Amino acid sequence: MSRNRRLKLQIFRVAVFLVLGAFFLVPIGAMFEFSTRGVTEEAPRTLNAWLTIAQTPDLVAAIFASLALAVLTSLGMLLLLVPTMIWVRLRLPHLSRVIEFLCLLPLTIPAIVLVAGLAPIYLWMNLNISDSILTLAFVYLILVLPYAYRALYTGLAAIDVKTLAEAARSLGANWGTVMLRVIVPNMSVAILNACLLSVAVVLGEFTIANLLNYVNLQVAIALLGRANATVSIAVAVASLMFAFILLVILSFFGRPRTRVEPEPGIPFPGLTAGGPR
Amino acid sequence: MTIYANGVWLYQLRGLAPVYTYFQIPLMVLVFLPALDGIRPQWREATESLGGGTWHYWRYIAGPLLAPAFFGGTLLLFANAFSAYATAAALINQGSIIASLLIANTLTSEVGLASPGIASALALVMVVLVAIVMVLYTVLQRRTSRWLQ
Repeated sequence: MSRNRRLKLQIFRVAVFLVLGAFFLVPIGAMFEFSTRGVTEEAPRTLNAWLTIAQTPDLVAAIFASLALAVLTSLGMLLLLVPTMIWVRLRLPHLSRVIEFLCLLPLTIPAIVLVAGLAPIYLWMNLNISDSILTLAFVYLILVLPYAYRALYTGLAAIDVKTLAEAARSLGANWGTVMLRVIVPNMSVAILNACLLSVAVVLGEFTIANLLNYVNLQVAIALLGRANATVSIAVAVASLMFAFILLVILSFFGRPRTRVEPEPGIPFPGLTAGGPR
Repeated sequence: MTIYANGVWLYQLRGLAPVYTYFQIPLMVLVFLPALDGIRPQWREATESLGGGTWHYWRYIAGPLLAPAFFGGTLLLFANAFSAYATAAALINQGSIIASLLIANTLTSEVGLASPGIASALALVMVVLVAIVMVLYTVLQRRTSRWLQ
């Protein structure tokens, strides 16, 4: 490659980086600027909006509800997916395409469509079982399936599950020991990834909670935006920062030991998991 | 600088477009970058040894190779924007100017105008449209993987 062309390429790269960086960072900076504004235009900078977060009971309740949902969803996802995927890999490999299709389906079905179908079920559940916000964990479990599946799949593909399982079995381990003490420790990074992605999805969820009349973090932000805009923006910045931190953790620990090429034909918008659409 | 010289457009249909780009650009990058990675430098060298310039390379080699991946990504973005709800709901408080808002409003009307039947019908239309898009996407994806990857 000639020197001239390399220089041109470098300039192009820097230009794209600067333009897109500004495009994505300026609004976040503007949000932070707005959240520190005083009441009038001449008023000095103040952190009042940030301090008010802790004094808004509705908001605190919503934050804790979202965190509880994130934990419940992650646990449920692990309980459901890890044994299923190990079992399918070891004993039922012909089912792997079916499982994959089922797990990736929620990516393509719009959340709003899910709500239209789920509304009657939740109406019944509210009346007969519980109207706690924590029941949302059931839907969120479905929502996080694609992301968790891809993360766990990468982890499982990187280790030789069959050999590990046969070795453990021949030494007298039962299936519980094989899964919990042999395979799971070998895919701990993938499990961490799946959990972080699930947390990001759950904390960013708005559509389903809003339409089923539950107040989670994002719904609280949207409601508050109509009453007290600066506080609402402050919470939004805080939740964005939290998601960034999660993704940074993910990018540090998230590398599988051996690189596994994602199968063609499957979109993996892992990073777009966070935040409502 | 006044961005509202022609009226406050942010809360209208055209206001949604710039806001949607904030979740569309990352998705396109994630979908399209693997295709770019599949381009081999040897192809460029082959073009040059046959006397072709930059224009020939992009017009006859890289362009056609990347086209299926690009249109596949575009289809995915279409489905994504079509099914988005949260952004529009947070931005627009009144009226149902897009399908997802209309579903939401017919599902949970606060003034007794709820008609879950209409919401379900609209949701079904959405599912059918998204299914068509995904089938087309799979076809294009298969075409992409013929040369790239």
